[in-house]
Amino acid sequence: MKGLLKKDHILLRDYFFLFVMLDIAISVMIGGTLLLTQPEKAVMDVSRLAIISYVLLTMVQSLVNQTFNDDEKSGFLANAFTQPVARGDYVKAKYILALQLTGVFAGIHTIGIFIGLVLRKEPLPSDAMMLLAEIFIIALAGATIISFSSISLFMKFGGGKKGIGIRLIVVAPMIITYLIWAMNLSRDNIELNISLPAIVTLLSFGVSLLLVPMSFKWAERREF
Amino acid sequence: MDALEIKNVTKKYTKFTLDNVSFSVPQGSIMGLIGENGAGKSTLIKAVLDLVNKDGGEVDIYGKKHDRNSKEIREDVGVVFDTLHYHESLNPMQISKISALTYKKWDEKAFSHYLEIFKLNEKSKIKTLSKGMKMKLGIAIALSHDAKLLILDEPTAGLDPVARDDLLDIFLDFMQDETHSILISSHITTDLEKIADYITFIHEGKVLLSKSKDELLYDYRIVRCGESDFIELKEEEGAVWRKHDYQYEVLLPTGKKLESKYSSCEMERPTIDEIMLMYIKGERS
Amino acid sequence: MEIIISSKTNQPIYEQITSQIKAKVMSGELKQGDPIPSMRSLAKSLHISVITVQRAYEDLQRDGFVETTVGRGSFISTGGTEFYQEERQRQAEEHLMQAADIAKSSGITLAKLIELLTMFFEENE
Repeated sequence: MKGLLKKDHILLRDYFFLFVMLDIAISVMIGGTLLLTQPEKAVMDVSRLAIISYVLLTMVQSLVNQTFNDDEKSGFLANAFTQPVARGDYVKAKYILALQLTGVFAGIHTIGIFIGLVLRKEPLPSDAMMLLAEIFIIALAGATIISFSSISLFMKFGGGKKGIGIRLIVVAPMIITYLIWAMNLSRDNIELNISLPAIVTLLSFGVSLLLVPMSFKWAERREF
Repeated sequence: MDALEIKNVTKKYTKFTLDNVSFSVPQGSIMGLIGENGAGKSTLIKAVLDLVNKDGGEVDIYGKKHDRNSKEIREDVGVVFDTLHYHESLNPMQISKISALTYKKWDEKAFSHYLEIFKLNEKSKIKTLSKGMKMKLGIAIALSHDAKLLILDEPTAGLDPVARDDLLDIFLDFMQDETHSILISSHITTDLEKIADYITFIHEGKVLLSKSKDELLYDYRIVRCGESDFIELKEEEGAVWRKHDYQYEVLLPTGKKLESKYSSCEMERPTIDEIMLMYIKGERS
Repeated sequence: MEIIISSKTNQPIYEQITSQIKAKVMSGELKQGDPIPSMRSLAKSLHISVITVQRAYEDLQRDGFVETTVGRGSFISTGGTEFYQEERQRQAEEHLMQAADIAKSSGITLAKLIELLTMFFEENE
């Protein structure tokens, strides 16, 4: 598994730096008021911040699908299984890669927002740290839902028209309800209110976890 | 204990079936695998490597069953396919780093040594390498993690005679350790005639024969003759024949013993290619 | 020590190896106790399969020309030379008998045969 991750790290290196630059730029801008709804009030809109972070993380997650696609095309997938790599190891490595990427970028993004806030030269809201932590967690959770579903669907159905279609059908509702839920989170009620979007989001989380075994089964039965 | 034991392996596809294939590769020996394209050699190798889901049978490597639960066995197995299955943008140095994390006994020094004798630059991306160089890289990788069993699928295809000769020497060097073994599938039967200890002939998904190479090359005889001799010859044990426009051709597995009996006939030692052609295109009783 | 083999003759390679080593022992080129290469390294040097060399060594061991001890390697033994000598003499006798038969049935004299045999003996010196 470590070898697989190392390979993905090597292959993604160039994309990684690009995305890091992009993420820092965007997050600093967000923190620095440019994208806030009411800059003069300096009220931070958690939902909007989380949404943008979340979108970025979804893009990052597509990198994981890309590595899988490349593994297939280059024949590396077949090669890997002739090495001391179990079928399940390969799948685990992809999930770990997704978590690594989303974790790193959620972190960069949060730090970027913080830097942007500081650059505003206005006094920071008293609970700025907690706010940032919330952004980090919300974005990370949403991204995890999507990446876990996406990986397993991509493995099983591929990247062709059928695969894209299925992923859209399954993942789009997840994204939409997640966004609705996130948008309804306002500054004052950050706790998990029991609303429909919240429930559906939780269900999405459940669904994404349920889809995980599908990827392991796919790997187990895959022939070359 | 054999290095590789293939027991009743069966794999069904819609248009082709690998049917009940069994043979063994003893430790310390080289097994050549021959057969037409489509005969099942690649399918068999995939079955040995557990890349396909067998419909029946078992593969044992150094006594241990090889299936989805046995990744440790593959520490001892080196594989070379006819194409190098790594991403085109990777270079040997990166592959070494990846392999060091994949194999317990990855030997960086040995790998560098092979790169040197193969004249491969460790920073050259795979996409810049010629077919021959890619093959050599594949072999360098296979030989750098202390493998005991090498499984080679057309490893010398596309190489010039000098490179082939070098590789054969490297394989013989690998065999200096008497626990090491090689299963090599190849169309270049002259290579097998040089270094193989045993030959297994796969035809239409089945094992047609599995014998020592010396028996095939030195006990078998091939005879070209007229009808009168042919009538007698075809009754000999295991005879395979072909009728041509102006002569008959007969392959005799027990030919060496029959030389004095058919002293008027021109009995020649066959090549592996001739043996293959006779079985594939000829008739038997 | 030189061993010359050809893959093109009808004689199996393992036989070529055994007959050459036997000949060297008979001529004294190889003496009792002389080491010979291990099976695997000889296979490698001759670019042939191990099992071929193994067969040669087994035959040499059976006929008393080679002794192999685990851990120390293979060495020349002259234990088989006497039997080999007898074998070769028997072969020579057979050929001479054939020559005698041919001579008697075609009027060639004994003196002529002796002359020819002497010539053949001296020719190769």
